[in-house]
Order: sequence, then C-alpha cells, then structure tokens
Amino acid sequence: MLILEDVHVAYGAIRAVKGVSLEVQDGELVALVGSNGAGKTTTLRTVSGLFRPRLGSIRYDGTDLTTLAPHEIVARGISQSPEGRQIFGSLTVRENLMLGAVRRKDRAALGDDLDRVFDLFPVLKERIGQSGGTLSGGEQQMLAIGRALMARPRLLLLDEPSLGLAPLLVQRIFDVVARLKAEGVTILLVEQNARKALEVADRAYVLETGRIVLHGPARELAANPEVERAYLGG
Amino acid sequence: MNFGQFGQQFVNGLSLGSIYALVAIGLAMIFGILRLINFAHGEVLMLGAFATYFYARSGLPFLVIAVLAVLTTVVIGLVMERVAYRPARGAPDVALLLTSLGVSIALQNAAVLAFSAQPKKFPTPRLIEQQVDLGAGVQISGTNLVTVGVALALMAGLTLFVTRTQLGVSMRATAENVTAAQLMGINITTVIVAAFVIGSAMAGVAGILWGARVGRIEPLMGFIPVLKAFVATVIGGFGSIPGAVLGAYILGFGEIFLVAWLPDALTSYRDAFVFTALILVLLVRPQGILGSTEPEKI
Amino acid sequence: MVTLDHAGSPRGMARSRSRGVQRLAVAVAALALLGLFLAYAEASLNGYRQQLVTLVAINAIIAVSLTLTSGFTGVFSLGQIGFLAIGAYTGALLTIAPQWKSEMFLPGLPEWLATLDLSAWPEQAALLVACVAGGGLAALVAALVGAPLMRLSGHYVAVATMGFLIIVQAVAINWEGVTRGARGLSQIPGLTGLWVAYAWVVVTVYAVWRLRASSFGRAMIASRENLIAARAIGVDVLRKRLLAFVVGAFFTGVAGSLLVHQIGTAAPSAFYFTTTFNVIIMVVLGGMGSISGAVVGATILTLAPEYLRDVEDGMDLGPLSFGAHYGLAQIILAVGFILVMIFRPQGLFGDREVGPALLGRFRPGRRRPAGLSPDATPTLAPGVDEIPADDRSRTG
Repeated sequence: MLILEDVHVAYGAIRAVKGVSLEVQDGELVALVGSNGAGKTTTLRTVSGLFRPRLGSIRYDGTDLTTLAPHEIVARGISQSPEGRQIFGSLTVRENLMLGAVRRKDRAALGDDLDRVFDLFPVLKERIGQSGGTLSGGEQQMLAIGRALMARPRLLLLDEPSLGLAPLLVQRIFDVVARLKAEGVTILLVEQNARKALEVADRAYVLETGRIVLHGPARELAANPEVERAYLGG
Repeated sequence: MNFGQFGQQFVNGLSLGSIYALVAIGLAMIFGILRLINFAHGEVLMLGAFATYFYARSGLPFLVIAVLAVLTTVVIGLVMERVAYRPARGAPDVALLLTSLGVSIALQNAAVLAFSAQPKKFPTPRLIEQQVDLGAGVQISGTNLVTVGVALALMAGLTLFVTRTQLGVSMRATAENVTAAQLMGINITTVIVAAFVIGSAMAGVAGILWGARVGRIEPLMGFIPVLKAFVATVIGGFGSIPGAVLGAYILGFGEIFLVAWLPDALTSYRDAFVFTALILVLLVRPQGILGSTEPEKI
Repeated sequence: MVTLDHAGSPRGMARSRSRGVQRLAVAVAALALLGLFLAYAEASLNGYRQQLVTLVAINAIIAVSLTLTSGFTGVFSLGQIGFLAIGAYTGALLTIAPQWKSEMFLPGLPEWLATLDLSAWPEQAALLVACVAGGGLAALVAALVGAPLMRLSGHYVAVATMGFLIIVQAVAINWEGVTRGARGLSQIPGLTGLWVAYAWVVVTVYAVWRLRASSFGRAMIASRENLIAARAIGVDVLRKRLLAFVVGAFFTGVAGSLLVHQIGTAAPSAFYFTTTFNVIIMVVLGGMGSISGAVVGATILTLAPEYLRDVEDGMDLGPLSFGAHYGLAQIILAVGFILVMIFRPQGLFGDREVGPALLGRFRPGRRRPAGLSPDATPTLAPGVDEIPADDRSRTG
C-alpha cells in the first residue's frame, strides 16, 4: 500500500506540488487526473525518488521512500513508465526490456516475463532487434510499459500512457491497463485523458495547481458536474 | 612522399590516433554520464606513466609493471571520483568543469613536487623499440605496432563489454538518459564508478604508450594528449564513444599528415591548426560527426 | 527572470532618486577611501609591496571583465587570458624603445612600429595609448572570434574559447619576428604605477556596473537564467552576449598592457592555463555574478601566494618538517578551490555585492543564478542528475 501524506515538492522557488495526500491500496487502480502543469508528473517522479519532497512523507508498505535513491525504490517493487516514454533510442528493444529487469534477482524467470510482455504487445516481438529510436510513437509507448513490467512490479506507475497517440492506440493502451488490473497489478495512473482514466480506475484524485481538489470512486467523479465541466469537456 | 614514407606516416598516424582514442574514450564515457569534461583525465595518464617509471626499478617483467601501473591509475580514478566529483554531483555543469580544472592543477603541481619538473627517461622495453620491416620500404617502429595492437584489443574488449554485459548496457542507457536509467533501477553511482574505472585504466595504458612514444615523461605531459582527446570527442560528438574514437583517428592522421605536408615554418603552428579545426567543427556541426543529441543552442 | 523597475510609480521614482543620491555618496566615499589608501601605500609601502598592490588592481580588472563575460551572460569563457596576451604584446610593442626593438631583432614588425618612439611622450600618455590600443585590439579580435562563438553555449563555449587561448599561445610562441617567441619581449618601460592601475579599476568597475544596471544588463542576466523567457520578451541574446564579450576583452586587454608595463617583460608562459585558472578562481571564489566579489577574489588570490610562499620555502609542522616545495601554494589554492566548488558552488558572494547595506542592496535579478545555487535546483536524491528527463532527451 502506497501512502502519500502532505507531500510538497519545489523546484527552487517554484512550488509544483503543495501538499498532496493520496493512497493506493493493493490491487487497486487509482487515477490521478488534472490539467497540464497540475503537478501530476512531479508527484509520480517524487514517488520514484527522482525528487525529494520538501515536506511530507511517502510510505510504501511501511517503508519510508523519501530517503531512498531511485534504484532502491525500484528494488522495492515500484516501477514507472515515464511521461514521454523515455525509451533508450540507441538500445535495441530487447536491451530496453532487459534494463527494466535490472533489479530483478530471479534472472531465470526473465524468459517468462519477456513472453508475457510479447503476449501483451506482440509487435514488440517483431521489433526485438531494432533500436528503440526506430519504433513508432505507439510502439515506443508499448515498449515503455513493457519495460516497466519487466521489473515485475508490485506497484506500477504509469505516467500519461496515452499522450500523443491516435485514438485507436489510446484504446489499445487502456485495454492493456484494464487487463493488467484484472491480473492483479496495483496501478497508479496519471492521465490528462480524464474520461478514459475514470473509465478504468477504481478511485481517482483530481489535482489542480499542486493540490488535490477532489477524490473519490472513479464512477462518482465521472458523474460529478464540476469534473465533467473542467476535465471531461462536457 | 614515396610509398614507404607514406606507409610509415600512415602507421604513425594510426598509432597517434590510437593513443588519442584511448584517452578520448574515457573522456567521452565520463562526459556522457556525468556531463563533466574531466580535465584531470590527463593527469591520470601522466600518473600511469610515472607509476610505470617507478615500478620499473623493481626489475619485474615489463608486462607485470604495466598491469600494476594501470591498477594504480584505476585507484587514482576511483579516489578522484569519490573525493572531488561525487560531492559536486548535481552541481551545475560549470561548477563540475571547474572542479576538474582544480583537480588537474592540484595533481600537476603535486607531481612536480613529488617527481620534480625534470623530464625522466621512460623505461621502454628494448624489445618494442626495434624497427619492424614490413617490406616495400615500409619500416615501422615496434612501439607503433604495439600501440595500435593494444588499443585495438582494448577497444574490442570495450565493445564486448558495453554490448554483452548488463553493466555495459546500463552504462549506455545512462549516457543516453539519466532519468530513465534511474527509473529502470540502474544505480547511477555504480555506473559512474564503472566509467571512472574503465576511463582511468585506458588513460593509464595511454600514459604508458605515450611514454614509450615520446621516450621521456614529465608532470605536465598529460595536458596535450587530453586536450587533443578532448578535441577528438568534440569532433566525433560529445559523449559518443564511437564518435570519440573516430574523432581521435581523424585527429591522429590529420596531425601527422599536416606536419608532413606543411612547410617547415608552419609545423610549429600544428596545435593552432588543430584548434582552429575544432572551432570550425563546433560552428558547423556542434553535435559532432556522430553526435545525435543537439547541444543547447540559441 | 526580469525584475520590473520601481521607477514607474511616483513612490518608486522618489525612492530611486534618494537611492541615486545614496549611491553617489557611497561612490564618492569609496573613491575617497581608495585615494587615501593609495596615498598611504605610496608613502609608506616599500617598492615590492607597492608592486603587489598594483598587481591586485590588474588582477581585479581581469576578474571583473571575466565577471562581465561569464557571470552575467552564463557564457563561460576559458579564453580570457588570450585577450590579456593580445593587450600585453600590443602595449609592449608600442612603448619599447626603438633601439631595444632592433636589438631584440623583430623583423616581423612593420616599419612604423619598429621605429615608433613614445619615450619622448609624457609617460602616462604613452601608457594610455598602449592600454587603449591593447584593449582595442583585444576587443576587435573578440568581436571577430565572438560573433560566431556566442551562438554556442555551455560546454561548447568553454571548449571553443579554450581553443582560442591555445591558438593565441601558439602564435605568441611561434611568431618570432614579432613576439620573440618563447623568450618573450623585455625592456618594456615600467610605466604602470599605483594610481593609474587603480584608475583603470575604477573605470572597469564603473563600466561593468553600469552595463549590468542598465536594461541591457538585466536582459543579459535574464538570458543567463532563462534563455527561452529572454527570447520571448525579445531580448537579442546574441548581440548582448557579444557586446559583453567584447567589452570584457577590452578591459582584459587594458590589463594586459598595464601588466607588462609593470613587470617589464611579456612572455607566452605568463598567458596560459595557470593564469587562466587563477583568474577563474578569483571570479568563482567571489561569486560569478558579483563585481565586488571579483575584486575581493582578485585581492585574495594575489596576496595569498605571498603568504603561501613562506609555506613553499619550508616549514616545520610538529614532527613533520617540510623542505622548500615549489608548487605547494598552487596545490593549496586548487584544493581550496575544489572545496569551494563542492560546498559553495555559487562562490562566496553569489550575485550579491559586498556590504549590501553600504551599497544600497544592489542585487540585480534578485535571484541567485538558477544553475549556481544548490537550493535553486529541486532537492534531489543522492545520485540524481539535476536535469528533468525531458530536458535531457529533448534539448534542441
């Protein structure tokens, strides 16, 4: 279980996150929605240890994450598919995927996990020897998610997985997210596409200029007129 | 220039380029990961040569001495990283750059203090000092032959390392995108330490080869090779290891043939030509020949 | 970040007028103090010490110039000492008496320069010509070299300007017909005195200060802190950087001329990396964007070796006995510098000026340089690069 309590993050004088509290229960799919610049990505990156909060605590199964380095957080079962995909363009698809498993101790099981990723995204199997930079945007997104899955995470952080994709691919990605949830993966999903996110999520938080302004079951939020107006274009 | 002379110059250029390449690989590796131009890399080279000089007094076989000297440079590189660069990590690029200038000056002066500024004769084994006749009037020195051989072997080994091992792949990934590498769970500190180990070992080897090439060593000897290697990395593309190697050979050949063809009066301007070329490359193609990422530009 | 001027509002105007008066008073007081100090120095210090005090002035000019180029624009120049060399040789060739020029055998000199004789002129007029010519030539070269180079930034400027320094060095060593090669020029008349050196310090500080306080200067600082924002508000970053580079080169050239007219010789070895490094330490120690910091840095760095020389001459430290160790001073400086870089990368003063109360709290831009202050970056976990991922992979 991931618990953020009153987390503040700042870049110099710019305060990006001003007191975010949220939690993700095991097996849950929680969405974090909000407009551009609301602090969603900063929140995820802080969970992954890329930023240190000025204030507040982040605990995962009782362990304080705020003092850990990013690789130690990955070692505790939290992996992230970052915003903008951030795949390694000069490395092959296989190398990208294997890097996702860098912290894994059970090297023998990696073959199975590779198969699982190829099962989710068959196109990656065809591209296995190609360098990541030659993939299309959608394929890169699949690679980014597949790479994060190679860590066999207990908690998966997905940052804007549908950003910049064609509608058909957006649907593909959300199908995969739903399937991962069905398989029991705990997911914290950051999305600008609030409608889609609220469709698949159990619960959701709405972030506005660094603060949580609303939270609740995803279905309720989707029906909330305020959310409808601000985020669902209704 | 007849064929024999050309062949000699060619091998000479290949040999000079090989030394530059060994130095440039370390620079490019460290730059790729830390965004640090490690000026003190030249001092690692110098200390490798001096370690060889002092260990040679023991009378052990040269190969053993060389290995010990390279181990010494690895330790120096590790200490450098730990003491000077790790605490400064996260500081802006300029602060890191200046820190490395400080390390470089400190080591140079320490070496002057410890070894005196007087050049010393490098204990090149007699075996490799001999000339090898390749026929067709091409005579090359054993030193050049060994230099090229050692450099190529090391580069082949490095290629295997960065493509076949997890640490090697992690290093390439980190050089490309530090943040993403961290999100994968790559321990950046391990990668940086590995870069210093490999870079320092190569610089140590380069120091020995440079000592054998020039015949004498002195505390400021690291400065010029590191500057040239630096130019090579810029020509090839900052942070790109294949680029650095390519740049190093271009520079090695360029320098040798420049000297061969320039009128005598101008050969002493060699370094000026090299750096003019550097500035031109920066202006025309700032990302270098093989560099892919655009540098900050306005 | 650009700060808005208060002068727009009536209250702001009144405030800025009273501030102006205050500043003028401070300036007059400072000049009077300086005058008193110089008079004292001239009357009671021995020749060697006076030379040292003069050297402080010359180094201060170089450091303040580098502050203009590097500290304000964020374009880090490693080639400043190349301009020092240009100013030095230019000045020297103008004032060395013709008989010495022919004695040193400089066939590369044009006829007019070989026979030019300024010895009949009043000393200070000759020095002024030498300084302005040295500075002018340095500025001209800076304009030519800088025009393309200012397009680059970050490491690339550092590398390219270092290349420039190496080229200047190669020319100084190899152009024997003019520079006398590695032996260097000698018999340069000792025209530089305390007063003229400090007069140039005042001119340099005033010029750099004015430049920085002007809208031009604020724009430069803006371009350093946020290139995109600066461009968005229409700052022609390239031209401003170039102007800063050229003005910095001018004063450094002047310092070069002053320097050789103090020490009497001009040799290439004086204009290379050791000097470059020392000047950088001065500026960085003081804080890259601080004029007074540069002056303080120059003072410390000029005087410290004098004290460290005792260390080099040998000393006893408890059971340890050190013999004479040439180079120890440089090591101590370098190590000290590394410590500053690690623990206080923004330098001793950052962008601020010494004695804020005295100087009416003049703090351009108000914020510390984004890059140079540890708490300006997001607080990062150990081993974390400061660059957010997107910036790293999407630059350009």
